[in-house]
Amino acid sequence: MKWVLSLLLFAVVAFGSHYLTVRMIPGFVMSKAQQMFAEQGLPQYQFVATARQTPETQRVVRPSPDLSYAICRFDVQDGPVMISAPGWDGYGSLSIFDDQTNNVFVASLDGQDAGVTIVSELSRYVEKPPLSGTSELVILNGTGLALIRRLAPSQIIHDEASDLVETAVCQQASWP
Amino acid sequence: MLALFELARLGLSTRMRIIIRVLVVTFLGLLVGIGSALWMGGILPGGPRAGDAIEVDGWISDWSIGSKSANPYVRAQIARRGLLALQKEEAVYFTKNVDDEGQPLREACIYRVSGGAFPAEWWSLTLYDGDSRLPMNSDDRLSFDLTKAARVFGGDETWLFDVRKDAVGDEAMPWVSSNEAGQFDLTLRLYRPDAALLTDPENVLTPPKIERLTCEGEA
Repeated sequence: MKWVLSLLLFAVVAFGSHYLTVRMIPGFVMSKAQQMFAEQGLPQYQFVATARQTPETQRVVRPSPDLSYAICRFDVQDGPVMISAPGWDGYGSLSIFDDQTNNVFVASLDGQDAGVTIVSELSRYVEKPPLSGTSELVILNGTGLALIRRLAPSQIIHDEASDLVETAVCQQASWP
Repeated sequence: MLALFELARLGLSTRMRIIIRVLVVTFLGLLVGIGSALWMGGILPGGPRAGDAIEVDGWISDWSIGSKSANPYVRAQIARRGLLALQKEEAVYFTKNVDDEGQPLREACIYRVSGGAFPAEWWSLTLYDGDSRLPMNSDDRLSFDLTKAARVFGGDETWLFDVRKDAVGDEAMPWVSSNEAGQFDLTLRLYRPDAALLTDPENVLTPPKIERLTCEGEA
């Protein structure tokens, strides 16, 4: 009887810990990424252009050396966040990732501006219309990352794309 | 573990034996449960691949990347392998680590990569080493793309370039450096792919050819 109970306990613990661990992996991976960006000095609520991806500057696996990247960290628990980026002559996109690594929003920047309003699932703003200058209201929990990609296959074009980060918006916002 | 059970059997009270048994069984359960989760979730190497795998002439893609999959194993593996990757409607990625004869791509060989137009707005081919990193060289020859193809080959939709570890060879031939790459792979990125590619990749995509020209030590 004691062996049966032992086996039963083993099965319950193994199944439960397996299930919980698998569920926690995306959140763990994203929190480590957020931590890495914070340790590299990336502030919240501000787009920062990364250096052109080279063997020396690469920080994540499989970076594209043909693209310029700008990243902003935010936390909707602090309140609604407004994110927008100016268009680009060529391939470009604005994408939002939640704290489980899901790509919850993406918009083209090919010759057009793009913007999104982000609110917490638990806030009173979930029924609000998107803020002026944004096209969509996205609901998520906790922290997130906004990522701007622009096609920039040379250093000169990369520098031009990096300069555009000054006009990109990533800030806490409120409705008038 | 058996020794602990034996000690418990020989010298400890019944209550202590039960406590030790519970602790040991719980520890083993956690070990198996967490270990298997990390293996199946892609954190530990060698686990099974979950997801929506696509293969076209040996070029492999996973269109689960960037998606919000309901399968927890797919979600875990996406987080691990495709962090900050885009949805397939925005970009798809195909990778190949062998040449057209099935031999692993390696720094000691010279390859000729060729192809034509792709069903996408823009494309690039990038070389990554065995650790999925850009190879640690200063050649500034990391990738080949539509912009370079148009510049070198003009309006002709066909293009080609060599993969080699140094600049020796035809000066007019574009090349991508495999210097310090060891065994490597090539990743084809297709940005804004056509809808037809997403619905029928095997018939719509004609992937690049990778021909091995010569290897060090060969006559």
